[in-house]
Amino acid sequence: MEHVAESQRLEKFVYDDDITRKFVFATVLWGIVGMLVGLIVAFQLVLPWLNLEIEWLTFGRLRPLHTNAVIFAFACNAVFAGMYYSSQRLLKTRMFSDMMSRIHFWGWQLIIVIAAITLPLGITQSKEYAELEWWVDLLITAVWVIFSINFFLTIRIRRERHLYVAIWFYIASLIAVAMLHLFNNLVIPVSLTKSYPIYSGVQDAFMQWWYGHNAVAFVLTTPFLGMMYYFMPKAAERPVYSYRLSILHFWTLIFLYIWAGPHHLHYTALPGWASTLGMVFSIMLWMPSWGGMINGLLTLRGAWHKVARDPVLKFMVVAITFYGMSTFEGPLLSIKSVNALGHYTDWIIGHVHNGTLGWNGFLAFGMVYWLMPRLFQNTIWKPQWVELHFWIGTIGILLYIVSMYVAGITQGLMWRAFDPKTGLLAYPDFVDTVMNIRYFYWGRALGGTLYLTGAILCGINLYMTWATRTKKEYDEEIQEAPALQNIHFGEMKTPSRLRERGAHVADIAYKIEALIQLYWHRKWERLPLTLTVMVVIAVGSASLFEIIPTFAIKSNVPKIASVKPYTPLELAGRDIYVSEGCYNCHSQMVRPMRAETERYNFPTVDPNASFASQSYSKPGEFIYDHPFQWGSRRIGPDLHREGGRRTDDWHYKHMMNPRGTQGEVLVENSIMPPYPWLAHKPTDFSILPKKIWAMRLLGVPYTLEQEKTSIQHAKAQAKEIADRIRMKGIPGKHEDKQIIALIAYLQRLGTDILKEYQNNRM
Amino acid sequence: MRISEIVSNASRSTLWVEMALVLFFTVFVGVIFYLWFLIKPEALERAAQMPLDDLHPQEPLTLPKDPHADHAHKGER
Repeated sequence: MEHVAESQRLEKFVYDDDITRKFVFATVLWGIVGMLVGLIVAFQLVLPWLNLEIEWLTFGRLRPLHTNAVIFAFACNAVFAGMYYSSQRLLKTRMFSDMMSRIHFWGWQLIIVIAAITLPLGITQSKEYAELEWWVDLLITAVWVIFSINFFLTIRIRRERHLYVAIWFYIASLIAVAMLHLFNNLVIPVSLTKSYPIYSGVQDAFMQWWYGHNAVAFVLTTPFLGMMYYFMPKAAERPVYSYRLSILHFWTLIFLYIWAGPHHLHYTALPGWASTLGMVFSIMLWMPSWGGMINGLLTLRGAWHKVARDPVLKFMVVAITFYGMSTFEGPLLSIKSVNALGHYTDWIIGHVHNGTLGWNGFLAFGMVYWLMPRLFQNTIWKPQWVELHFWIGTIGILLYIVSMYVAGITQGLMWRAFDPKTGLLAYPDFVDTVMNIRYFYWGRALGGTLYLTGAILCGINLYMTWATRTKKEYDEEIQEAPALQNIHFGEMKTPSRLRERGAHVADIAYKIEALIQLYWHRKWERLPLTLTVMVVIAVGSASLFEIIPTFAIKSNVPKIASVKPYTPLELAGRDIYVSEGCYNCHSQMVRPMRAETERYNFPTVDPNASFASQSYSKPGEFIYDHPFQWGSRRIGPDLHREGGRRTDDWHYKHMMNPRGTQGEVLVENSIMPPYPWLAHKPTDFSILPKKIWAMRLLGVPYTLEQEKTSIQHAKAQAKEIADRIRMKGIPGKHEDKQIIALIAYLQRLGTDILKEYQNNRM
Repeated sequence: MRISEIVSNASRSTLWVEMALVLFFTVFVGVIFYLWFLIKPEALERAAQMPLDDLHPQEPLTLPKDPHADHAHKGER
């Protein structure tokens, strides 16, 4: 009877909408900033002078800022806004701790500001979407833990028994992001601005794309699906089409997504079985993704007439449609033969922006517009601008992705084209392929301009809706719900038909009956800890199935005896390569295809030599690469076989001005920015012993003697290179400059394996 | 025998890929079976209404007055 009394007592509480307001403002503000940076880098590709010869503004440094800003500042702030608003209402409780909510908000904004400062300064780990250095990663971990504790404790104090499926998606996101962030960012710090990942080469690439792909899954997909399952019914004013389908969507999606990462590494030095596994699971992803899309769209059953007059629904419908399109295209691109054409081209950029601009961007904007009048208790300042935003945004997306599809397929076909008369590459000069797609780069820039304009309209509308509100203090609606009461497993009795019918059976029969009824799932579902454990098992088991074999199977990375660690100067040069973000435009992975081995051949080898056609990259060539530098895009040519292809002085002149001078043309029409500061900035020799120490710690076979003499060794090698370029008529004293270290690294690239071939050992 | 040797031996066939597919298929069939045969439509309909009502819990987190009567009423499983 005590239970009855308690259950009838109502508690009063108010939702914390102030935290949602904060995240909504942050979403739109950082969205505009991130998209603006994206637009700048898009224009840099058609107007290379826009790099302004300022090191902080080069494409290689700004591109990571763009990706980090739109993913972690725009999309994540939108996710947090959606989570705080919907979770409180779905759980019928205020957030557990207002203070933790605010630490989360300000901590996250601090991280964004740090990223905006460190990335243009060239402080980077060079792993895509995980560029931030180790101490920022620790800060991210701390903020994420506080957010998670607050979220799980809010679930614990809820007044709603069942956890709505949106909450499941949020839980999966919290858990998976934590796992991905922790395992991909395991590094040995060397200084505040430098660290080396504990993985190397193939294993580093595998971990990176396990992370990179699942960042798309658990940052840009699952939390947005949670938001879709909450805000779409809200906006349509009707329940989701099929709750059953939403549960199927959830479990199949989180179980499948985690396996698909290796499709980013087809035809690379990654083991074939891992690549195939990634492809198969990517194709299976069609099933839950389209189930989710259909579920979202059919929520509008009987209410399609509302879409015509409600721009919020327009945003959401187009967002879900783009979700369907991008999740159709992703599996398509994961098929090996399609990937062979599309990988490293702008097709991938088109695919990514199909998802981010269409799905993430439009769902976020739709949510913001739906929240605006409710959060600020005011009508939207310019409702007609919402409609305008929708249309120019949609046209912008279409212009962007169509340009990139055409550019990408054109480039992919040109890379592999052979002249039928000569049997040689039809377009041997890489820059010819770039010139052919420059008009589509303009199309992309125009599409981006339209999309950014829409975001700016949203920003003005948001600010003015807030500024013109009539009440400075918001009305807080007081909610009432029955008091929380702890429920223990023992008190939740399983309904038994056997017992109801008075059947005389052994106790084991009741246990079997309970098991068969799966009533335990309803109990688990109500206990967030258990649901969380199930999510961890789903995500973790899939990860381990791929990670353990990749690391443990000996034959995955056969050692090549002639592959040696970099010299200290080359290591310093490699760090400069990383810092300048060269991987954003140049891959270091020659795929085993004739078009690639012809273009990226061994430059110093007789074409008739027996091994001349075997210039594709081997797993054993990367075992000392912490981090790997395979890249994911070829705006410029692959560099893995660059060593020995050109002279030291050519590299010097090329870095100073890639197009050359009137007297000496280097790469006419190159869109690469110049790097004049490399000829002035000194190489930090003093840190070399520490770097070699870190490498030794990671298992790279440097001796203690090499660690101690690394500075002298590096200076001696630098003097040799500087003397060579001086003899070629380049004035100045460059021994201690960064350009020399970078040249040392470039000249080493992909050359070790030649000794193995020349000794006929392979 | 070290774990790397065990895993290396196991990798001589396409075992990993096959095990992964079997594992997924089992989970998928399990979820389908649960959703279509073991859970009652009323519980799903009630859950689907949750975003539409910010004020009232669909299923309050309190012990029912009579657990058996409540289960019978709601048809929970």
